[in-house]
Amino acid sequence: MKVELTDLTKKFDDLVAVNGVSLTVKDGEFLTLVGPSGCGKSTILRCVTGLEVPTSGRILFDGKDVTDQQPQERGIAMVFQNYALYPHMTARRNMSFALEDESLSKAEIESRISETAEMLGIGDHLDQIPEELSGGQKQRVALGRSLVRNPDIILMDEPLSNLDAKLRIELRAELQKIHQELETTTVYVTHDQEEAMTMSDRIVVLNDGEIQQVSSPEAAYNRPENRFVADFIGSPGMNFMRCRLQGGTIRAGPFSFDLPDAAEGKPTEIGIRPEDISLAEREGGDGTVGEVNVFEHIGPYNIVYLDVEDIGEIVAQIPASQYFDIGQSVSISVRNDRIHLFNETGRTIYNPPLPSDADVETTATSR
Amino acid sequence: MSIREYFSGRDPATDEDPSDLTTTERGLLYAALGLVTLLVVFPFYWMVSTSLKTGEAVTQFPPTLIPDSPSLVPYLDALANGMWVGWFVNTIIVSAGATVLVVVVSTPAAYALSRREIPGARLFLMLFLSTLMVPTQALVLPLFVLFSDLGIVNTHVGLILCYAMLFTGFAIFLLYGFFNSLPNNLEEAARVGGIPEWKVFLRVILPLTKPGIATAAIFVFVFSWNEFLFALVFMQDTPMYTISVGLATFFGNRGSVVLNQLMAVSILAVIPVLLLFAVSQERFIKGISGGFED
Repeated sequence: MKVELTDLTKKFDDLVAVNGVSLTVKDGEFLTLVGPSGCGKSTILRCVTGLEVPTSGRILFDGKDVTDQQPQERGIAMVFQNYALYPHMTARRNMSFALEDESLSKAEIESRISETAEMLGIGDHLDQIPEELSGGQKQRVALGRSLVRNPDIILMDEPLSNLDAKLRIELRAELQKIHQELETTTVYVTHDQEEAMTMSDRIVVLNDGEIQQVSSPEAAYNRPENRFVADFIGSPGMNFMRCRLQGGTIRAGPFSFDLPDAAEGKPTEIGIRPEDISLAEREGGDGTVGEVNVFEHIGPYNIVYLDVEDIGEIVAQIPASQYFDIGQSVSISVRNDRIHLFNETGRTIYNPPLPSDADVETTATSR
Repeated sequence: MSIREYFSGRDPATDEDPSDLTTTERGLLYAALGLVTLLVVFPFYWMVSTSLKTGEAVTQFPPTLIPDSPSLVPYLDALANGMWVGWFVNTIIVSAGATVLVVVVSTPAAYALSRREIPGARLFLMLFLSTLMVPTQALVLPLFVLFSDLGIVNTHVGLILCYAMLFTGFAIFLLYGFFNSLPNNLEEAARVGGIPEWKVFLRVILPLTKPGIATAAIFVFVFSWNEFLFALVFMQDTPMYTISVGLATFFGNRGSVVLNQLMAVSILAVIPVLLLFAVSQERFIKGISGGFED
């Protein structure tokens, strides 16, 4: 089912939680709303469920206006961060509870539950109450409770945030698998950019109640539309340096780059992803020099925090085979063709071409 | 949390264990506790003891702590003398009626105040609370006049309405706090799950509110059971008396006090309340102290 939000605004007294958001979720799409806490992502989701009534704007499901409908009438399902399982009911009853009001036979309910439980691997826990289940099992039951209803839309509000890291990654993959199988329109809310990047067909980056960018995860990472998106997406985050233009050359501390022809305007800040910085043992006196502050072994690669004169700290991601000591002076080089440029309003005026060179749809619809 | 932990006032997870105390300290502690217990329990013991004495032994001086020949005759005499059975039945009808009425009225009211956006909800809550501040004595006369006009003085219904009026504010306040402690997400999950509103309340919210409702119910029942002033004023015919009024008249009858019978009936009057508390104490204490535990 297609979901359309037009000019959605939600105010809580004087606080504007969501400000004029227009957005279309395509049928069968996995769309993620991502942003820091307080950016309005959960409020948008709650407006879609009907648990919050928007101050203005409309919500349409397949073209039908549902803005004034009760949550019960919307044919949706929601998964909560804290599971919200009925504590006095067994896992089975939690799943069957909503089905009791639909005209389904006992056998039909039974078969749907066992089928869903099978898919989620909770078949052995159906007769336990939530208190007896682990966090992962609880969230699987909560997911099952949503899925047994064959909802038109599934909404998830940080469903993995209460789980430990390993389980989170495991369930992340399971959610993707389930979505591929069922192709139910899914709107997912998270503050974790990595979750957003890995799971979604498209992501919506939000800040202060406004959409910053709507695009594929690759585009958000490689072609951010403004400084906020560039900063928020990616871990470790992009390096930012104040810069000035001298003729056709951009200067930022000890670095200098050629101004790309495609740049639209005057850059005031330059952004460089940590993986576009390479380090080498210092030989002789030339080149840009930094001093190693922190060295982190991640496994497949290493992360280095460096002090650079006139710039401050920058982060580089280097191959696992490269190793430096704390305090060591290293020479730094940056790929000239991988820089991002921003003007003083924070808009992007230049992004490097996508690595795949593919055309990726990028649309921003914020007021 | 067990009853023992609750009354010890300590959190077993963090507080120091009393076994850390020295022997002397522990001795003093138990001596003090023993003394307080004695002070609390003695009057009750004295009541039991006197109720089992017969004849001279009742007024004998110095009194004996343990009756020489305990007997249930005072109980039988007392029950034969007054209209005790009828009075018990009256008390049960009025207390149970008031309890049911208060719970049925205040549970949805407290839920609505806690969960729905009602214009002036705070004002309503303050108004309900303020009913607790009004001295009940001030209400007796106007209510009596009103109920006389309605013709429900000297009826069970009249007294039930009095008690409902006295205790509903309190019950709403207690349940309001309890509903506030229930996580919002459960109702939201149910609503989004397509569960009709009435079913959300009856099947999701009410089962989780049981400890709070039980607490409110016990309070109302015990208060109603023990209430004297309204029962005295509103129940004018002897057969309509409640236990507390019955006890008072028994005390004054024939100008002399039949002490052992009075004690016997007092014990009978206290037993239902004690039983109720014994059965429900775990839930009761959880209800007043904890609210909902996830």
